[in-house]
Amino acid sequence: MSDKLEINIITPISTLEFSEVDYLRAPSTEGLFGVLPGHIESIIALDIGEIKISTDNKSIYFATSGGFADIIDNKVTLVLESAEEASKIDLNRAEKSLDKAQHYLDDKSNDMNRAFKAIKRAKNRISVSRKKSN
Amino acid sequence: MASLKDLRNKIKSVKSIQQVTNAMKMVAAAKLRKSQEDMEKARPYTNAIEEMIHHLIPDIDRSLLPILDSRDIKKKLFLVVSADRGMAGAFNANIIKKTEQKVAEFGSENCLIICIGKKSHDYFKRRDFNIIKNYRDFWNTLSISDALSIGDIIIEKYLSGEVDSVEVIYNEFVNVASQKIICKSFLPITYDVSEKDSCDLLYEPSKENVVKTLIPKHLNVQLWQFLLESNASEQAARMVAMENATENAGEMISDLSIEYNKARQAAITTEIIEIVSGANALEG
Repeated sequence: MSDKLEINIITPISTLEFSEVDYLRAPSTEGLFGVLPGHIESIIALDIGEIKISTDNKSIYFATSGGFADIIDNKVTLVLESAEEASKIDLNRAEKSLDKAQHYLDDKSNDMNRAFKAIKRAKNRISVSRKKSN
Repeated sequence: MASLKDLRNKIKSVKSIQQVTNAMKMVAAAKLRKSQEDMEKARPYTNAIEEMIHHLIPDIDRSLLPILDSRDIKKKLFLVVSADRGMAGAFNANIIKKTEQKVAEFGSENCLIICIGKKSHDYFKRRDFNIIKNYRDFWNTLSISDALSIGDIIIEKYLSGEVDSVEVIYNEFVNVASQKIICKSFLPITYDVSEKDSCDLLYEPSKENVVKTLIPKHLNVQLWQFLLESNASEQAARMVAMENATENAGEMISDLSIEYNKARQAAITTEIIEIVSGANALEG
């Protein structure tokens, strides 16, 4: 068994592949969890949050709005609704959507749940975009 | 033999038809590029979710979720995915033929139909099939929320026990020149028992929770994929059909031109003969 992880990130609009990964950190619905090579087979529901992929002292960060992780034999498939790499997030747009979501809250007839989720997503994108991939 | 004027008019009208078919071909080609892109981007996502479902479903107790319940099939629901417009070769005809065949197999009184696209709805309505819902003028503004609303209706019908099985009939995009008619079972979710390997999976937060969110998502994503496939197929079928039509019009024009030239030549010859014989008569 190799001692590295292979990661596939699949979203409705793109597919990304990473090999030789040392460590993956992702947000489950119950908090952050880490995956190291040799992880038990599992299916994990993911929440809005930040995904970190570490390869040879380098880390890449993604903002996601939830999905699932499927782990089999050092192969991790992340099936996500969205995944944006930190450096590619448009901060202006993220701030605008946060603003919009907060205004959405003002009208009490709106779906609060949806508004809270939108705010969470926007805040997450803003915070992830500040992470420098190092 | 047609007169010169008739031939000239005929050539003119074939030429204008050729222009129309050529324009339709261009439009279809432009739309095809976009829809094909959308479809190809979505494919890996759909497949990944399907794989995950197959990975976890042998491990799941069917009583966990009402949607997983499988019962004797007494009533079937067919989701027929056709186009809003014709001029796409046998695209709609094939879908309709397949549906009729499937309905006949099962007995039309036990079949319900949901029609997507004007063409199938017009056809089945005229023949008094059991249409419970139809979507018209659908494809121009295709969005994922359409798939979600269709999914909701289907799931509701299944859960209420109104239907025991749902099948989707649609065109799968193989390549630009060919589409494949697919009849796929949508509900109940089935799996190959032989694939069952006892897997010791870890679920987080819990098995129930994962299944409850993953299954509806799987259904919606699948439905969305069907729509994208059909959309791309429609544009491809139309493009090919219009290309053939343009070509045929070209052939027709050249045939008519030959006939026109012959007729013109014949008229000239007759005229010359008349003049010559007139001159000869005067001399004599």
